[in-house]
Amino acid sequence: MTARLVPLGLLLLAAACGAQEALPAAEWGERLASYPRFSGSPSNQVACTTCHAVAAGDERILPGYSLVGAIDRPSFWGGYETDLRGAVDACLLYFMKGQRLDPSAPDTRALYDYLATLGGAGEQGALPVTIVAAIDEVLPPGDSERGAVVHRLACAGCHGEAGTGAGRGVDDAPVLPDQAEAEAAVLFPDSPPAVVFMEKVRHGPFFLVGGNMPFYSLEALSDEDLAALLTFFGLTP
Amino acid sequence: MTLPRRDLLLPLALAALAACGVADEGQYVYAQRDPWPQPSLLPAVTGPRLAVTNSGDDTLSFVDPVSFTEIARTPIGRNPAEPEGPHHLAATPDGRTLFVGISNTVPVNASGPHGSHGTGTVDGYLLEVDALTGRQRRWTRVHRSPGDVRLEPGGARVWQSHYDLVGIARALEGMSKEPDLDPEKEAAWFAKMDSMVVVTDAATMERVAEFAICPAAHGIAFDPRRGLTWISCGFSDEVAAIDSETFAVTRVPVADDPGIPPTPRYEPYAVAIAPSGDVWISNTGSANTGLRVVDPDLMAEVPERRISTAGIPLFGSFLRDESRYFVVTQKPDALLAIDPATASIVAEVDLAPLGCLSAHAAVLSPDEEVIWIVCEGDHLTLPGTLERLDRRTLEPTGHLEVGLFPDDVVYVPEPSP
Repeated sequence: MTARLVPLGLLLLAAACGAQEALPAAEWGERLASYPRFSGSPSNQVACTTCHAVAAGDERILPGYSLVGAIDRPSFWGGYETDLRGAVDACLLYFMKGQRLDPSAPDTRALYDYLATLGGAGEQGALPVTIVAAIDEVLPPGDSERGAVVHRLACAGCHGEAGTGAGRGVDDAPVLPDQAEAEAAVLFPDSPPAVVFMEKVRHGPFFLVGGNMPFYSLEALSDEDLAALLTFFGLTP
Repeated sequence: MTLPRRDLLLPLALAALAACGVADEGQYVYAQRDPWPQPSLLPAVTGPRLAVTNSGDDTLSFVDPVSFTEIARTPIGRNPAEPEGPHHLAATPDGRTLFVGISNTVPVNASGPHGSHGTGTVDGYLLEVDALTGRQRRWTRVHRSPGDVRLEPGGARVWQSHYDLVGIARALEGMSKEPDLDPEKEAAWFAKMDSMVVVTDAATMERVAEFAICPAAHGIAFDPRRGLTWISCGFSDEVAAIDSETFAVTRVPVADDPGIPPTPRYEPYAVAIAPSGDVWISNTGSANTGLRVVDPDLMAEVPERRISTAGIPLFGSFLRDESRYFVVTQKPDALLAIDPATASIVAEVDLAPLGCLSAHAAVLSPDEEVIWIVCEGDHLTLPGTLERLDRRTLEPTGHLEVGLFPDDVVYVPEPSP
């Protein structure tokens, strides 16, 4: 009996080793880039690819710049993060409920390898990030039809379909606009819903707004598109 | 001995796992040898530098004091999206570390927690910065509206005041409309206006002490001979003397007719210690702008040494032989050369023609040949400047634009090997 088991064991060993043939870490890194649990938080539902494109032709309106070329961009966040590690740390801390990167961890190294495969920035240099600091007044009415498109390309990924939330990618992202309006009335009772909506879009969790939603800079979402979105939701004057 | 089949499979499986490194990084091949690089933000350090906090754009300017050019401008702060207002800073004697106060008070038109000086509603920080690379190393949270940041002589501890006007406003909200005749209750109410001082170990960034001293504390200066730290009290018309070991606080009025918090008459803001230990206080109250001197042995203000100034006096520096005190004023922007012995202004330099708007501090070079003056600019669009003057002739020798709303300048010695 024992003699018959030894070859079997060797076969198992060979099979196991064969299955573990060394792989390019970038392949694992690619999976991590779209894996929310990479942040370490079991309740996080967003990944790098939720907010960043990784290839040309992504039609979504995303708050973050494409990861293509990120590897050697000279700075991030409008110059306030001076390297990619700091930029990723900021995403992890503010939007993904996570902790700072451990740069020596295998997963972290694999993610970097993947980002390197996406290519360099060439002569692109640093990319502008203009944060609208003051939300003074509600934007004038925009194009409602364009607003529907903006909702699909910018909001639906996390919030789902307007009015129903169907297909939303983040469980605690409020259904737009009704649930968001109801929450705004509780959290910011002294501010009109449209102002709260603009604060949320332009500031994300910053400026005491709170939550985990990333913000849209002027480069990521124009005032024209934001006005269209407000009109689509019936929030413009 | 013959092992039952089930018992043999387990060791074999474990052997397979161990041999192949399952759950080990060995299953991946990494292409990048140096992932997530964080290079220095500064060029190689070849000599002493000046460091400037640009409160309006959350940066530090590093300046070559000889060529009087900006070497680098680096971001500073903990939050990449919000303005945080790096306020004052200090450098260690070995030139390797900077300590920067993050005030979270910024004069920008923005939503959120950021008020103008003293009206921030969120806590600030003390940041430790590697002066060789410009990178932040560690930080510790302090209280609302951190004001001055000074490293005590020897460099062991960092003192940080808080110009917290929000605390005063909140104390006022709880004030009874009728005067309280119970002295204890009245004292307790006044104490609610007192702002905190935080003392941090410079080596470990651990908190050594924190205690309330007086309303709207700001300027900090040290008298190592007497073991005292002096801090101005903006809203009680006092200066606080703090025992550097026991942290016992003694408050000394800057005038014989001080205002009552929250209605000061003198508004002491900056403080400087003469080599003799005399305490020179810059009073910014609109009806009483000028300098007052407190005798540290008498613990009393000396009326004979009062100096009225046309402008609002701020931060200044003494020559080591105490023959001159150089202090700047705003409205008008000027540098005053004062003879401390006679308590008289012996020279005045109009800074406006140099391009200086809102002079904030005059700092002497270690060899006392140069005066550097930091000018705030208009805080929002017009950059601030550093002015350089010959200390002996008071002639300008340099003018340099830095970032928005610079608020402090410090000499950073060439790092020892």
